[in-house]
Amino acid sequence: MDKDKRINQDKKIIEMVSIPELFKEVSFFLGNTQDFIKRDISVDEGEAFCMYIETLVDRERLEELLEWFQRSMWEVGEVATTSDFQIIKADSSINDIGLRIVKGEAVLWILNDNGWTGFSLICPLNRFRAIEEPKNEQVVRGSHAGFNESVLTNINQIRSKMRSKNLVVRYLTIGKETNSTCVLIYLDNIANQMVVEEYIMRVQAIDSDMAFSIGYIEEFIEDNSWSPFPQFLNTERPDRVAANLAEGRIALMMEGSPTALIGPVNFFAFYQSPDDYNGRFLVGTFYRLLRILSFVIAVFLPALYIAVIGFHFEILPDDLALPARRAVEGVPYRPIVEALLLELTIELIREAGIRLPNPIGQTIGIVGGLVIGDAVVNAGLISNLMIIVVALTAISSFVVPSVEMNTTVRILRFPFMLLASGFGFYGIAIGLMLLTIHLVKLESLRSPYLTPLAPFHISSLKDMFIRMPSWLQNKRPPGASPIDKKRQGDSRWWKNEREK
Amino acid sequence: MKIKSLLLVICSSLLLTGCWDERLLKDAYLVYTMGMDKEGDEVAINIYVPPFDQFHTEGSSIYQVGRTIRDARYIANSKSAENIDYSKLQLIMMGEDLAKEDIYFYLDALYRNPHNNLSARLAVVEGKAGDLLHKPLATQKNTTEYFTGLIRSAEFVSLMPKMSLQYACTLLFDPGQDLYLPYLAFDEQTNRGEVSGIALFNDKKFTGTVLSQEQATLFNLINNKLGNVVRLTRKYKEKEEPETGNYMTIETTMGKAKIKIENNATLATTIKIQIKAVVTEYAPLVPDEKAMREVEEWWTKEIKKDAEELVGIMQEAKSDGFGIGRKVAAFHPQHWDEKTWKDKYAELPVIVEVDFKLIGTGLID
Repeated sequence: MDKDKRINQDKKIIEMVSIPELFKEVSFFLGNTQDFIKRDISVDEGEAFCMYIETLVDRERLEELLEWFQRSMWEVGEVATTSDFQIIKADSSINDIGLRIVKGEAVLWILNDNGWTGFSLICPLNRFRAIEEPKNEQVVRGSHAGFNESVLTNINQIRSKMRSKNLVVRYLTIGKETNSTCVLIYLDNIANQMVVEEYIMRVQAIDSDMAFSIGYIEEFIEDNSWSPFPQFLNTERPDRVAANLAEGRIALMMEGSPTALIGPVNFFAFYQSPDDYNGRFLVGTFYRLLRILSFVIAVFLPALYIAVIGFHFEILPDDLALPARRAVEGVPYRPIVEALLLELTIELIREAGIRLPNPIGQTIGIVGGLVIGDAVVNAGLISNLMIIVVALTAISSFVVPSVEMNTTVRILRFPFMLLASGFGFYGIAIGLMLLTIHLVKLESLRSPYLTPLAPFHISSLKDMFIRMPSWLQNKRPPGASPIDKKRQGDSRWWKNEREK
Repeated sequence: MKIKSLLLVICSSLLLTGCWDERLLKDAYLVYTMGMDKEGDEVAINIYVPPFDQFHTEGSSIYQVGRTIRDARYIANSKSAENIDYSKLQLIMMGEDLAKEDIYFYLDALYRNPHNNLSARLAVVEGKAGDLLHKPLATQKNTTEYFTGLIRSAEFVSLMPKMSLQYACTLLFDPGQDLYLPYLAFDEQTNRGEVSGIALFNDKKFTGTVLSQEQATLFNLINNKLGNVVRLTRKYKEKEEPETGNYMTIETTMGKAKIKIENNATLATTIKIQIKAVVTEYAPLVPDEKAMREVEEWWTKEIKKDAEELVGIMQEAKSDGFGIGRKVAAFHPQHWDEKTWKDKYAELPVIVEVDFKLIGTGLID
């Protein structure tokens, strides 16, 4: 920062003698940007003008405010501060004024014999998406609302889901250049104060000059960046955030990001979907188990197949051995090459599907999948058993209701495939051991990642692999170490009463 | 620093040479059936591989003579494009001549290989195993599927209890019980193989005595090793017309046996057979009490007679398939002597008691 600028930003408004001088100084502070506009207005009390950045201000609203301002009978110093309207003290510095303008306020100054009188007209230009269902977290039953890019709308959605006096919102500003607003939301009576402070400390410790999105922040505050597992739950669903807040977790949101970053979480939180709770418990349990199974399939199936075909084919059932032998007859590559070839093809199709416009994306998916799958078997490059294995794996990896865990699972299977191709079941066992050690050691906001399993908590098993009826889950899961451990009392006393 | 040096050690250990135990399925020549015969002083193996694609109905086979089974296999490997792999072996067929010697010498190679399929079936073949394997069969299945299926269906209809390579080993080394294996023969008329009965072993050698199919069913009943279906057919009357009308078939819903041995020097043995059965085929049957009693009495006698005959044959062959010796050793150890047991067994007084109950006529009044 050069000297001129430093002198410039500390200048007080009172020091100015004329309107053009004030405008010149502010304009200089803003780097003479060309969308910084000055507009003269006429008032009885003296010379007046308004300055703002035209790309940040809602012009229609500004005209309305100015009109009202000119029409109304007012006396200097007696105008009350309203939500659209704030009085600015004359001893504010250029720096203060500049920051207001950058935020999207229009600043109005009147110069008369009494000196400067300042007002701020708040009329920001808000262009936000409507509230719609997040594309990557769709549910069958239940709320279809999702967050958008406005943090105020998002907090509003959460607050209208839990109208609690204990819901606390804390504003934090990060990014030295971007000045992004982050909000931390938690329930004061449930969330553990130590965890809240840890979370705040980590966010405030970010010394980055910019913060684009919540995903960018996540890297700065997570416990272990080298782990393949996500340590914060990303969600764009207000109902999911509300449910997590009620279990004592803390959500971080950011202006411009439709995602909430929830922590501390455990591994199994990534396998819970709002759908589990919106339906009856048997259905929820079934799909919960299915998702856990999908994790096992997605990570281990290709590895198991490679190990069996390459090392231990004697474990194939007698009636399967011959079809399997027929399937691999004439395949030129060893199983690992086969598997990598096909896995990479599927990843390519997936990646292409995201980038391409919707109708074409689907076509590419089908054409790519079917044509490549069929042709590759006919050409004898890959056995049809491998196609089945890889397809099943691909489907399983997309079952996970969380996008980050989904990616984790897809990446995780590659080391397992390599281990299986090198050492067979022995390699898989070694890999599984390392994975378990890592998971047990991992923490999310200093709470154990594998929590209901290690350390073991029998009461929270009710909502892990299976989902017991909601009225049985009387205790909050201990993962977030909530202050208030009791969630509910007996909601079904009438049942016992009637039986008596 | 510590971690770095540790990583270095781990990474450099990857460069160390060693043997890689990879066995690719696509390089394996999966043997499903193996026949073993004596060829003079040497042993001949016939290994049979089922077809690998849809265009071939018959698989391929290799015939090889060698000093030992391993030797023959080793030479056979030099005649095959792929690596011959025995881990999916389904059936081991032994020629009669070979089975009459100590069969453990021939099975040793199979027990040593950890990849081996311990649930493979064993069978003794009338004549030479190789001859049976190469006979053109009147079946749509390939040779392997056919013979394995043959033994499976014999197990289903209680002709033969499940006898795997693993269980056979237990019996081979059990001084109190003897091995028994299905006896395969070739039926010239229908051009098919058949399980014609049970081959009885004395210690580790085939005695040459084969139980007929009817006796085999009874043998399994006394051994309490019945399959899913147990049917007995006997000639009940003499003068009905047509001839089929004389025969009655029963299906047992429950059949079990108990062997009791008295605690004295003679070791008098009682075999108690309990059968509950339903008549499934006999046209002239009148479903009244009197006729039913008559049928029950007749079957009681018939089964008693057959069982006594069966025991006689087994004693003559000195083959203790029921494990009477094991019971003696367990309950009356003072009378148990491993060395003289077989002679004692041959002379054992055995009484058969039959409790036959007809619980259904298969007819509706």
